[in-house]
Amino acid sequence: MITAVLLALRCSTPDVAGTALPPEALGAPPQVDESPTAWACTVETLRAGRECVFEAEVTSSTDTDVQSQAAGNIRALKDIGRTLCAQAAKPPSGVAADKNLAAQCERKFADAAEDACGLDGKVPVVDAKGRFAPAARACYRQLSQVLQDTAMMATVASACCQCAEKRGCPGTGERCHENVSRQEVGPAALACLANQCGEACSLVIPASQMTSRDSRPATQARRSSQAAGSL
Amino acid sequence: MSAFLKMTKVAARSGAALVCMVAAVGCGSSRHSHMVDEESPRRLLAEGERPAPAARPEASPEPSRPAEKAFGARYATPAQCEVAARRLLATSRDEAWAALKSCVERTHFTLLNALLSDAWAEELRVRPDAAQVIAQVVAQRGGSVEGELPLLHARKVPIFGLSAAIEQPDIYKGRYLLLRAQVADVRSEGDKPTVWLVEQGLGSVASEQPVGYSTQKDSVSVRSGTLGGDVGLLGRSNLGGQIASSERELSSSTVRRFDNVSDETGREALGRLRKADPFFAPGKDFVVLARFDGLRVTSGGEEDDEDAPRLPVLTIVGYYAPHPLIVY
Repeated sequence: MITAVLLALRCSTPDVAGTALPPEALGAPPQVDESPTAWACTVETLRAGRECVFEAEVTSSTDTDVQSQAAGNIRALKDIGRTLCAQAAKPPSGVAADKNLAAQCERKFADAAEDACGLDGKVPVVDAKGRFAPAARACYRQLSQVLQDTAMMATVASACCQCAEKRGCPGTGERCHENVSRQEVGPAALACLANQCGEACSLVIPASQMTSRDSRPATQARRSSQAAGSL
Repeated sequence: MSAFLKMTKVAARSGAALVCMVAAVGCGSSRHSHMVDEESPRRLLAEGERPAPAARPEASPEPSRPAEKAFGARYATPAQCEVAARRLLATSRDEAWAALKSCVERTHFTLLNALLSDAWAEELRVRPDAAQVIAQVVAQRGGSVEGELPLLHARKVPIFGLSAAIEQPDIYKGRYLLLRAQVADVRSEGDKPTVWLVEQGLGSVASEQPVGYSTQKDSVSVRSGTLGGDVGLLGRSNLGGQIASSERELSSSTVRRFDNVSDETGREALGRLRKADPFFAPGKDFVVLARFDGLRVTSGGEEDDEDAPRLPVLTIVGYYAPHPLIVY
């Protein structure tokens, strides 16, 4: 009888520890979902230059295969570099990639991968679904910078440099894209571009340069025009 | 003895009618303003400490529409509905909770202090949908989340704000958060979308609103004249002159008007949804109830990894459109 009463009392006692509560209850312990969202940084966000967050399902590597993990990380990114660079080096008006620019991009992409994407072999740089690990932020940013620079050069300098190469202007070659996009073209090359590739290089040569055929570098010309404007 | 019982019943009915009348008058006196008064928390807390009028069987309100299927639809006011639901606690907690939920869903239920009273404390602790009921009431009170959280915390209800979670992510990980937010963007992986939420703060802006009629009176007077004559040595001369005066009188009456406005707080978050929801659309404010899943490092910003910008990630449990009128 006493046992029955005690049992009844025990059964009627409200749950204090909260273990029997439904997980959604306010009195239940906190619940965390650590799984990645649709905003995870992936190869696709890297290609498109879209904002993202670093979350992946990666596990730490064992100490024994640290070197092979690091090499694997770098190799995995070098493999995708060719595809990403081919897309980034495509001028907006053209159908094919600028080969010189794509080659330059691939080289820089590989350098960036070597420099920042090994992650000391501690974790895989991307998970099974291609999401970049949280530790790979520096790597991702370097690779992203290479692709963004390439896309920018493809937009503003590709047509100009291809024309300059065809017309035999000085200063062409690997440095042409960078020099043209930064408006750091030498006097002789600038004169040639203005004469031979006026239409293709119109984005990078100031209008005054095109008409006056001034032989000064573009940066100097711009500086003086800004000073005149401020007066 | 039976006569005494009859008298008691009559008295009880009169008491119930009086409670109904007072409740009806109280609820029917809402003013046409952007602020709806509610009893002060202290007063309601005091009532919560002694829920005797509600618990007494003779104080239980009679349903004005007993034939209605939904519990909440049977009562004229949310207060009557809540009192009737609370009365059911004595017989069946499940029925009482279902009745309270019906009150929240079927009436414009804004009685947060009644919901947070001692009578419902245990139900709020153990019911899986208690947090959603609270969020729904907050939305119906206008969705001033910043203003409502202190009321929840005074009653030790573990629902917190986004700013606190960002400040101390480890402490709030896995906890319920309540925020007022707009959807800015959405991305999906498979059939699981994640929305970019922009938190909104609620404020008010004052303006002068003209009332009645206005009058305007303009008057202009011009006086001019000339004078001519012989002035001796100078010979014949003319003098001319003009005096002009104008007057304007404007009379109008204005009243100061306050409009509720929501503005971005600067805090943002990612919110996981169970499935795509076309009603959870950009451009509108929502009161969002979610679990806090921690902070994630973003790709933006020029800072090093340690100082990199971080974004809170949430699992959205429910969302509710806030009522345009705010209850203080």
